[in-house]
Amino acid sequence: MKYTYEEIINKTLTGTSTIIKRTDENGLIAWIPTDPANSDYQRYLNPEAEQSTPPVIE
Amino acid sequence: MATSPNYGWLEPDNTDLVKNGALAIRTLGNAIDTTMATMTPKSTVTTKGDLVAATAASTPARLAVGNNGETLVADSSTSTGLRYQANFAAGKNAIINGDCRVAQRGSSVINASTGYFYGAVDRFQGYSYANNTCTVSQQAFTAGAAPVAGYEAPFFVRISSTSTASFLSYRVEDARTFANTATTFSFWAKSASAQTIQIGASQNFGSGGSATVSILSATNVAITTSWARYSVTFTPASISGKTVGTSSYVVFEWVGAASNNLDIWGVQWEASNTATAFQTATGTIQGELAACKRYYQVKNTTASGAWAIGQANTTIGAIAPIQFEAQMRVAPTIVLGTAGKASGQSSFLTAAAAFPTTVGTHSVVGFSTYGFELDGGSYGASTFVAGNATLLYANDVQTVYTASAEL
Repeated sequence: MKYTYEEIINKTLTGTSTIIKRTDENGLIAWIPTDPANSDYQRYLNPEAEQSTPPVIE
Repeated sequence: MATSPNYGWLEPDNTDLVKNGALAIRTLGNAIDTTMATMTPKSTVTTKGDLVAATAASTPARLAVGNNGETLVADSSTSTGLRYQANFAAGKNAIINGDCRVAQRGSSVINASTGYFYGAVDRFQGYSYANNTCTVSQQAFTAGAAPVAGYEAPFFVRISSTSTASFLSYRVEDARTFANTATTFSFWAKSASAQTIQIGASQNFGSGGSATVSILSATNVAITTSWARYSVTFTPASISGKTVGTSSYVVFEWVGAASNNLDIWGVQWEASNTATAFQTATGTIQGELAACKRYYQVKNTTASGAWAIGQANTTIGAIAPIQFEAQMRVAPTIVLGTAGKASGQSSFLTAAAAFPTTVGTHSVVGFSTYGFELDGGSYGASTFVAGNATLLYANDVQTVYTASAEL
């Protein structure tokens, strides 16, 4: 699945936040927090990581 | 000659002559010696709490006392058939949803893009190799056909793929889990046609952590067309000296043949030298659902109705704080349902059951592990009175959001 990403700065009830807007090939939109523990954010930072994750059994 | 009442040792009669006394005493002494040689000496036990256990028929041996709090369990692999085991009061099974009951994504997830994807059964992943189609689905047992009589599980997980390099996978949060401890990984399985699959496991130390360590190298398991339980005992590597990064995990994989359905149920990973009776991680249906929602949750409506309360922050928009049904592992990725007035869509209302003339767009503007803020913007001019409350209303059945904090 190929994604396009867009960084968005939003106003919140308490201030502002940066959010990643991810759109897939089918137009489905996902909102990703800029949290290093979020695996989708990790993939945004390093798109090849998931593809190169070595299987346990090769 | 008389005999002793318990062991039958020969003794002189009361009327025997004194001249035979020495022989009688020696005969009695030898008999006692023979009997005593069959008994366990006191020196067998050396420490407070030691037990005497048999290593074979008529072969007693010392079983050293265990550590405080440990329990004694049967284990045929030890010399005495017994061993002490650390007592885990809760969470024996590190596999959440091991009985495959929770399936928040529906009954089937099909993927044809290279990479991992979460399947229909919560916590279980598929891996599609080279864009081959891989399906992970929840299947129902025929009543009475579940592999453990009395448990009568309702569902199992099935993987089918068009590539031998695609596989079923499961991630246990935290690479520290059971490190340097004897463990047993067990599961029931069957296959459309008999095949030898491979299972394996590794510690993944997460973002910023040490390199991945294999803890269970590829192990062949011959699967038949009937349900049977399989297990492998191994000790995950010590994590001493390792850097545990963000979102670390232990991953298991089942790799089977292409175009040959592989069915799995009753997955258990426990700190034990043997596979003990299967039990779910939490012990209850609701507990398993809540545990799954730490990683993924979906909110569906079952009919038209308000599903959140917001406040108009401008005349053309409103914000609604949405609370998750269970706290999530990390701030999750959110996918919202469609904004609109039509069936299967959601909108903020301008008054009781009154949709605005023009529905705007919905986005997410804040995250936490407890919830998120849904922002409705670009509604029609003068739709709202800023500061007023407004209901977020679902028109008919729909998924209003999904939240993913998966590993």
